[in-house]
Amino acid sequence: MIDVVMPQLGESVTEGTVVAWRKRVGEDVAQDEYLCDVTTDKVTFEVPSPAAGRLESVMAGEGETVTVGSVIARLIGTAASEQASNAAADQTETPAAAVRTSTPDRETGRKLRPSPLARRLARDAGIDTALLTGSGRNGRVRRADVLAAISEVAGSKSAPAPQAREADEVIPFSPARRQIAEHMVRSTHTSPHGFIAFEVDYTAVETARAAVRLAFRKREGFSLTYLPFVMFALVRAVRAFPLVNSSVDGEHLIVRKAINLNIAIDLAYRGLVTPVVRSADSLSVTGLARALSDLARRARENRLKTDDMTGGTLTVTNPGASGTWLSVPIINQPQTAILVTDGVARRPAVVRSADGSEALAIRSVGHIGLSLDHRAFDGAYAADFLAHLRNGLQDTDWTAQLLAA
Amino acid sequence: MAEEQQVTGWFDDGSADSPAAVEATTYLEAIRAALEDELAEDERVVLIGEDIGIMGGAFRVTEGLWQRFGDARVIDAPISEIAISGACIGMAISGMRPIAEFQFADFISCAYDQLVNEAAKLYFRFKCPVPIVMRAPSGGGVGAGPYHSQSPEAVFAHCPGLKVVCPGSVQDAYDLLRLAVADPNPVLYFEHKALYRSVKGTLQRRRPSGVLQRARIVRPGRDITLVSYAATLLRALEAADRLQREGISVEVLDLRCISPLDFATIAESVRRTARVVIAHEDTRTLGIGAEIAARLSEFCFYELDAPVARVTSPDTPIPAARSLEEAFLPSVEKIVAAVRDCVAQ
Amino acid sequence: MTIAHDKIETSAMPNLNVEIALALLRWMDLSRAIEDKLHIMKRQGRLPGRLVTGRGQEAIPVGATLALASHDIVCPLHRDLGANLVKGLTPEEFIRSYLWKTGHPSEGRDSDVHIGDLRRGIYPMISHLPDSWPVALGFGMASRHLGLERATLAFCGDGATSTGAWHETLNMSGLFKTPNVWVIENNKYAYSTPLAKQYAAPSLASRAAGYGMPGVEVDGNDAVAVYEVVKDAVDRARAGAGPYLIEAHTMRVEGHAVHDNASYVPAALVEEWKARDPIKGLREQLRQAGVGAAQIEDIAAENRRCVDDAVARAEAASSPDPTRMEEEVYAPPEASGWVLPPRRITARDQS
Repeated sequence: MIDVVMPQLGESVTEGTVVAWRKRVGEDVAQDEYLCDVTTDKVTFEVPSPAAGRLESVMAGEGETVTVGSVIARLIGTAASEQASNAAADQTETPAAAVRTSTPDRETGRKLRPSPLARRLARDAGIDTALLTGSGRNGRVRRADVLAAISEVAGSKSAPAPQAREADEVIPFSPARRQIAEHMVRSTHTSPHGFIAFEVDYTAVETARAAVRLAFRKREGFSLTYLPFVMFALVRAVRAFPLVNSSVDGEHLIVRKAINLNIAIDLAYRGLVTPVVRSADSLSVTGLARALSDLARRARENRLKTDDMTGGTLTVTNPGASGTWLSVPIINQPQTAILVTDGVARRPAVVRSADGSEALAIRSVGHIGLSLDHRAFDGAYAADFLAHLRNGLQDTDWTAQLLAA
Repeated sequence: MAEEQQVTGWFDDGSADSPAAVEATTYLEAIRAALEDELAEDERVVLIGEDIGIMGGAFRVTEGLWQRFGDARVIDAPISEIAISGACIGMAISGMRPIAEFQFADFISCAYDQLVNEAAKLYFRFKCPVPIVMRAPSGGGVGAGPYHSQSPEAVFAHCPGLKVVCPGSVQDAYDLLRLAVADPNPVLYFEHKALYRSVKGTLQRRRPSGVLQRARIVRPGRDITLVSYAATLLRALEAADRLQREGISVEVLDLRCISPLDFATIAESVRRTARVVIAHEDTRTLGIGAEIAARLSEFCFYELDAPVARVTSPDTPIPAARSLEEAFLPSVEKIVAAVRDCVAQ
Repeated sequence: MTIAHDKIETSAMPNLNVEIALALLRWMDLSRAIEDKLHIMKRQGRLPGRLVTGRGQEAIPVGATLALASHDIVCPLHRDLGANLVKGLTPEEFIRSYLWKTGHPSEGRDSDVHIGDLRRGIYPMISHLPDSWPVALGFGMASRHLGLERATLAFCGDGATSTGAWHETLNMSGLFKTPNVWVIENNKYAYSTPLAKQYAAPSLASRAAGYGMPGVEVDGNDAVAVYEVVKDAVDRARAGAGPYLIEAHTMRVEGHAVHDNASYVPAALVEEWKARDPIKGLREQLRQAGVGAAQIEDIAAENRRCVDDAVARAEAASSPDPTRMEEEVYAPPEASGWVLPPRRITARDQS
């Protein structure tokens, strides 16, 4: 069966009308012999038969208007003409392949910048986009993510506002308080916190400290505390377990080369500052003590400089000075760990003597703990780190170290 | 920013009269209606072009007009694009309102010199307005090959002093032509030949108010702005319908006037949606999409949540074979894909 | 290529119309005075841009334009300063245009010979030649359509007659019988290209027949002859007889512009035509008609004073303000108005 279609003559012409049939159903027709007259857009022309054969049926009668390309009649062709017609029909056009337009490669690479809009919104809201998880392709931070972060921060403030009742005192947040609050919420939101704690026997530290206490104080003008010892051992532990000294960037961990320790200093309930002891690994115990003392003094006197506040890679907080037993600190973003040293107290402990027998003794004991960002490393790593730190505190020849300048 | 925003349907442009609405008018018939109304209402108007008289034009746009208005108002000219366009300038300066027809936009290149060097610069140099309208059927999708399918709007949009309009609807085909005649500047009016008989709508026949330089939001949306014009506008609207079913709310903006460009309307939309796809049939490099993208980067950078995307024809002449042309033109599928990709960024 | 001199029209008037001749002399001499002054200023470093003049060809623009009525339009080119002057452009405006100052029709947006004013019936040229001819055709078509008894006179050089624009224009002008007078200033050279390398036709006027209009050749250095031929053509055109092509023969005695020393032109040819200087020739005609030397000298002196004044004022004028440069690229909506008078001009108005 061979189709006769309404031809298209003229660009943008979409319809044609059959004017008159020159052949009747059942009549034979030769190839190219005129079958009918059609008119499109006021031009009338003859339609030649596409093949030799017999007119089998007519779909569009005289006066009927059909769209261009629709079948208006069918022919039963001769064997030869059917074969030729089928061969032509088999040449189906391959579907139009998508044209490969040469577009330059989109931005790839490790660090996907947030969208310009996201950056502006984040800047205006005081949000660090580095801390956000992006919902865009490849983890790109985009508007929705920043807005979500803003509304979470806002949400925590505006979640059913507690009502002040009579006799309650309403204290508005100071700028420092506000900043701390915002940071703590953000840190909690950003880093999934884990916590590991160890007990440390500070006997070795205490012995060495007691021996030099008066002379140190006389010489330096300030007291030698446990903290410089902790920092000294901490730095060596970091060298063995460097991942605790890092930052998370999207799906990458940036392991810091420098070891700049933030030291949390409480300003008499007025707030918390965490100035930095730079290159802590280059300082002796005495050096660390001096740096600490200087920072603490300047913090109390409100004379800390911007340089003091930037570049920290790992934070140490020491609530132990207040006599705590165990504290769980919040990570100082964008770091991945924070070390806490709790109070040292005289406690009963089991000691093993050289021949393997055990006895009770009274030792100076305290906890060290690590809040960790579980994105960066796991508990086992943190435990081994703390163990190393504990061993350092317990086994270092502190007397010798104190003699170093 | 734009002084007033029009987030409107297709026909609401605030014109004063309440005209008779004509149902089921084609885009081509709307052009003819505009020409007829101009000829009838303003004796300064004349039409000039090749085969526009007794034959009614190669596409029959001017059919019936010579019969009604005669030789003096509907002038058949010999094949002389230079003389036709230059004569329009002389007639316009003398106080007439000539409307020339180029048989295909592809032939407007023959008149490039007169349009760019005489018409476009006369007001700038000597404060002499040149109120001419150059009509030309542009665009592809009808299998007409490289010399009957061109979209030269960007070439002329690049020339200061010329205005370029590209209607994409029945009412705009009428309104933009009448506004072009009223404009004291030289206006190139590119009517898309694939829309001639395939687009039908209700036509309000009345003198339109307003000015030429106005884009229009033809479909409001929230998630992304899709800028287009002429035949591609219809692909864009179809794409928006499909994307709606996927939960993506697309705002479709009809440029209407390519030059001068109504960037304010585009910017206002992008400030709400933060994402843009520009779709046009013109080839990629230095099409109007490039200018829009450049301005978005200059003025709306911090409003963008994703890079500006363009869906265009590739940088080749328009091929003739249907399989090639279908791959060449921006299709609904390509627009849908571009919007999806932009939204996912 | 030789010119058969017996085919060229010369003055048919047995008695010179002294009034017209004096007017011709005044404008030609003023044109010469301005251009001579510009040459001096150029060599003194007082002229910043290019300098292109029509020395030795003044009879054509002046002779032709003086034949127009006040409401007719002229489309001059770069060697047709006299046409501008006859239609009312002042020497000072012209010099300001050359000096890139304000106070002339384009206010510095165009310069030197790209000058005109539609209100005074002068259509300003552009660099593409003869792009003004299709526009002149439009003026002609408008005159017919609007029933204006208004002729349009357009000039071009021999070089421009090779362009498509020229041929398309003449074809349509002849076809629509437009009231246009088309004047070719055949000065033998299009930049460095002599006539023999431009066309094979026996003359440019002979092409007129191909476009359905009369064509005539005239001695372009005889101002009175040019005046008479154009007057006749313009009158016919206004009366509805259709367009006219006039080939005026002259010689470019200088380079294409001041930077061009025209070493490609045979010196003998230049000398021959310098001897036929149109101003010199007209002065001689006036003397023969009994006009006193003093009167002629007065005209020259007056022109030079006028030019010196104009230069002084022009040089003291201000330069255009760049802060407004991006304004007025497009005409505002309310600018939809006539530039040239639309009314029907009757014979009574032509005086």
